[in-house]
Amino acid sequence: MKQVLFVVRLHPSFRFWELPYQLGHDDRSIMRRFPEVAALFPTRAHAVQFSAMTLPIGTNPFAVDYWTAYADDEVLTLNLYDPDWLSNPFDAELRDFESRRNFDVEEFSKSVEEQGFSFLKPSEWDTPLAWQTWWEETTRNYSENQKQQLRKEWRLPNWRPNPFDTETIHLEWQDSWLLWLDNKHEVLKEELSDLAVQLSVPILDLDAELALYHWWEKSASKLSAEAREKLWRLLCPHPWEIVEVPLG
Amino acid sequence: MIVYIVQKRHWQFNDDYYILEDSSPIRGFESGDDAESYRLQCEEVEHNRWKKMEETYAKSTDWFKGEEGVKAPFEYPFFEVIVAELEP
Repeated sequence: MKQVLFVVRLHPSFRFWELPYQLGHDDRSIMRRFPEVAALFPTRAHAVQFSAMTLPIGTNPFAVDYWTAYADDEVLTLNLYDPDWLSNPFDAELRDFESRRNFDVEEFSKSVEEQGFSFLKPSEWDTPLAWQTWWEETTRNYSENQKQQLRKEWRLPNWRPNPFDTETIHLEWQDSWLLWLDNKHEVLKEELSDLAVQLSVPILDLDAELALYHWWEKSASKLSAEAREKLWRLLCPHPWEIVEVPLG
Repeated sequence: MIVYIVQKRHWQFNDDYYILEDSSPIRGFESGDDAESYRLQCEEVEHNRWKKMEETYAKSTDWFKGEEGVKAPFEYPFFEVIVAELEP
């Protein structure tokens, strides 16, 4: 039987960055600026562990693929107005996340109850505060790691201590109850600004074209590893993919 | 241990030129020479596949053909060898 190795590498959104053609055809090398292999392991378990514990702090997290940025005359614009890629909890299914921006509450409740957890009564489903409280109670005795695990299992974002924070969720009736968790832009701006203050960097004009990308390019070398890690954790805590490669 | 990984580069035509859309590691080797030899085999197969595609488009009246016809990105390799160290 052939031995199989496990490559850990950044998700293509971070490895390939299409330079808009307005900026010139010859500069394609910019697409290959990131390492192809972050690490190579003999077992999947090791690769998974690395992915969970490591963040690519040497990489500019704002250099993302063309589908999150667009060409506008001669500048590249990071499309922060639709920042779906940020803090995307669906690390294994990044490409499909568009269809997963909302939850069918009934399906979610079934999945939660099947795992032995109690869940909100249907009469509480349209009350955001009930969701917020439910998460607090469910995870009351959980460690941060256990909470993180639960978020992953249930595909919940981790850009707030409570994924059902009343300020960031809303519920909508469309033949069934849908829970929307995509109201991230304002939260993101707020948290990035907070982080910028903590890191003693100027408050960013987050809506300015390419501001974040250039800010990183200029400032990353001055940031500590811890600060860069913090930023990555806020923006995209699961940026890796694992690929199996047969040996020989 | 150093591993030489042959990976395929996926080119995508964007109506103007080819962009590198993704890459897929396909096989690892303990020897760089073995990896290079495998890469050349793969390169030949892929080159021929593109050549055929180019010929097919040249004969077609498909809108995709464009004014100049489809040109395969032959100036860039379809496969490459990357080097990685196996973690203990």
